[in-house]
Amino acid sequence: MKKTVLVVEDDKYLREVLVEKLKKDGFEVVEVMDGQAGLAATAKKKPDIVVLDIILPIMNGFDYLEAKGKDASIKDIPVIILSNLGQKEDVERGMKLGAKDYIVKAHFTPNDLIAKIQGII
Amino acid sequence: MVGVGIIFILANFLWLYPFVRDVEQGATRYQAEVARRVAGRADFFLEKKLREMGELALDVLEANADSRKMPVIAAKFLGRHPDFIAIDFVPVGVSSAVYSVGPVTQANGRKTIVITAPLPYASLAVKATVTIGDVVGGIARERVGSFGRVYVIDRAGNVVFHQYEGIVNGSVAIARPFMSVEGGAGTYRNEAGTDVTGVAIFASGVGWTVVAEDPLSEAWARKYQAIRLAIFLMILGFILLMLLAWSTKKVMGIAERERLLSAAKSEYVSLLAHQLRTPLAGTKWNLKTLADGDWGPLNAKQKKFLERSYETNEQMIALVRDLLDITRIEEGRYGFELKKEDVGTFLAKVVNEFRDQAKVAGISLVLKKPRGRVKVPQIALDAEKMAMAVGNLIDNAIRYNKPKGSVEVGFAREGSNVAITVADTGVGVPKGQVGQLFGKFFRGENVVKMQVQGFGLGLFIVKNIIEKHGGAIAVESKENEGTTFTITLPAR
Repeated sequence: MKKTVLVVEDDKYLREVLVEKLKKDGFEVVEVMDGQAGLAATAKKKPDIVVLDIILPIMNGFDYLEAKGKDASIKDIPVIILSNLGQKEDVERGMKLGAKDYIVKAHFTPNDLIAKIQGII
Repeated sequence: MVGVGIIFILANFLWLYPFVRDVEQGATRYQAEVARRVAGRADFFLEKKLREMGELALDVLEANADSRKMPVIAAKFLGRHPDFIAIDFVPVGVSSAVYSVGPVTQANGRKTIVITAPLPYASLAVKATVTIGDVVGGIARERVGSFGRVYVIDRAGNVVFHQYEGIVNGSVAIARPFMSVEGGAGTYRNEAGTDVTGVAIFASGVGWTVVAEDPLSEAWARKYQAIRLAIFLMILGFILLMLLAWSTKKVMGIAERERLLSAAKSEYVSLLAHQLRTPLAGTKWNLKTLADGDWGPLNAKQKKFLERSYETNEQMIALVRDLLDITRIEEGRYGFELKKEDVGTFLAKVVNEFRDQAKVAGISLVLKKPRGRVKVPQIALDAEKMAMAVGNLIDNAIRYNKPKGSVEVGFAREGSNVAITVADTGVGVPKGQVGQLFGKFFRGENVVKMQVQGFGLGLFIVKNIIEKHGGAIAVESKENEGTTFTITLPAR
């Protein structure tokens, strides 16, 4: 059975290529564009893993993680943060909020991300 | 600042006031001296005339005041004393025992006075008309400065003698507010319309008042000079103060402006870098999947050019990362977390990350253990940032080396410090450019020729990281022979 990846990413340019790449590599993909929609999709679809951007409209990635952590039905779903923010404090904050990994978009390739996903699920 | 200005201006008065008073008193003293001399001359003249009239009194006594002999006596006397113009004998009352001097009169171009002296043994008095040409001549030679004048006024206020031409006229009455038998001094505008300072001395014998006066422009010339100097100094002081205040304000303004500008620049760069990262990351992911053949097979040329685009994009990403690092360094937001690390282990990790790069470039990369048995102490490091610094040096050493060159990383204890060296056999730094090496956006001339890309930010960041560790970085380089960087870190 195909694993489901929820992509929460507002940048269309990057999201499209990521979604296509994930599908090509055999994943089921659900895509949303903000944190709030991400939270709803997480609860509804129960994905195997979430790829989460931080700077998002309506609800940002950190707030998403906080809300998710409080919801027992979804709090164990793993999250990989995929962000443009690469400062130490951002990484630490994300990991503290329960993310499994933190990837700076510009410094990793889609293959790196997929390797990390496969390592987690 | 204002206080200093007021003190400066007041300080001017400290010397000006006594100086001005001194000049004024000096002028008065000088004029009084001249006037006193003239008064003495006048009184001496009178005394002399009275003595001569004493001879006449003796002649009259010898002749028993015989009224018939009197004209002869008088004529003889006049013959002996040319100053005396006329002698008259007049009857007087017994009570008139003192002489008197009449006002100055002018006749036939001659100024005369009439001296009346009693003859004690007869009820007669001698009335002698005397020309005062002698005394006037003496006074005429007196000088008060170059432009001052002396003049003499009799009891009636008539001018006996005046050095001003045109006022030499016995009928002109002159009065000064300070004139009295005690004498006096003051400033006033004289008959010629000149502002003067004058002194009056009373010649008590002859009953004249001698005035010596000098135009203020001459008498107080030094005072005016001093005032002008003081005003000049005050204006100069004021201008200097204003300049000082202005420049201080400007310097402070510049510093403040630079601080704000720098902060704004940092913020701008940071924002720009973040904004740049998003499209660069998107491009990277698109290019990478394309080049990897995720969307279908590519021919060799397609693949080559896509990979080239990918590399260029990677360089842009590296630049943005450097810019962000610099911004954070300059904003002081570059946090450091120091932890004790074993230098050998740390360096081995860093060096290992460059093995592949060195191999591809055909450069031998060696980590040399320290010689002897001296144990290298652990040092406090922010491993991530120090790896970035040392890594940057190794990266440069590989990148700007010669074919089949080498890079040697070493470490050793040096007193209370640990020295880490990165030595290469590369192109070196041109002489004269070593000083600029750690500046922002610096790239050696020879390096630019070798590789166009690069922004010259690396060593600036390296230096900053090392300094934040309390360390220092030094460089020794010979063009075309190689470069050795030495990082010295305190082993606390």
